[in-house]
Amino acid sequence: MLTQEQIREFDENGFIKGDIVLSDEEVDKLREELDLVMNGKSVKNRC
Amino acid sequence: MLNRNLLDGNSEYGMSMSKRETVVQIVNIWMASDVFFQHAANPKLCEEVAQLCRTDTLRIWHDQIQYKPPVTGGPTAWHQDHPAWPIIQPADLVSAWVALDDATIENGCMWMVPGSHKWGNHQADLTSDENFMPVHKRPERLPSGAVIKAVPFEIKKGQVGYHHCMTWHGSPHNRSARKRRAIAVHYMPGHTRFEPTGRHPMEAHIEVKPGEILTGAGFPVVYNRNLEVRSS
Repeated sequence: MLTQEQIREFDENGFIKGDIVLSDEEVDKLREELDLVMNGKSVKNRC
Repeated sequence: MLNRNLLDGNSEYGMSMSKRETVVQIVNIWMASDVFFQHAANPKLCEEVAQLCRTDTLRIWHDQIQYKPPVTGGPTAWHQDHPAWPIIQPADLVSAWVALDDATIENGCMWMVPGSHKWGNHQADLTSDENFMPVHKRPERLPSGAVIKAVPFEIKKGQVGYHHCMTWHGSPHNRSARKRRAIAVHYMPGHTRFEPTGRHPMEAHIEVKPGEILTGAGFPVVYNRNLEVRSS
């Protein structure tokens, strides 16, 4: 949930930084998945 | 450097190296990967994008992996997103850009121009100087008071940055030893309509009629505040 101040800043500037939304483990999972896709592997139905 | 004379007459022999700048881009990785689909549906990301869009519904327009490899990672020219998407209106999409490596000035983080999302479509006039700072070819076309001053948008690993689809942005080379991987998801608010131009490559994959809300299997709903309220 963003604060009213963050929303105001976005409206003024057109961008804002949010929070850290992924843990290190979640980032690792997406990196591994990206490697698989880049190597042409199918990754459907793995979650 | 190699002395080319050593290689006289034999192009098969000896060391050879080519260095070509690249940005690896993958569009719609959510279609190939359930893990990336779940990422696009991340409740916190979706709730916050919905706040910024003032909407109760979000659909995926598309996602995009942007991977600038170490040393050879190339630049992404200054641009606005929505001018590439004329078939979806209005121009009020918001994107969530999540870093999979720390994105810093050194490894080619994005830069943004504050306030530029209010200036209209200037895509055709955007270029950059020798320092990769943005330049408008015909600045007299900018609204009065517009100041082009780019700022770096450094994002930590796992952090999100949000940007409006009309905000000027670009990212320079990655000449560092570190990768710069990121996943951006471009979200449509619930009111985004299909307005075909007759020329856009995506039109062949769209099944709704002109002027209708853009729905369909290629544009799944990933957030619906009303359903959440009902189920809780």
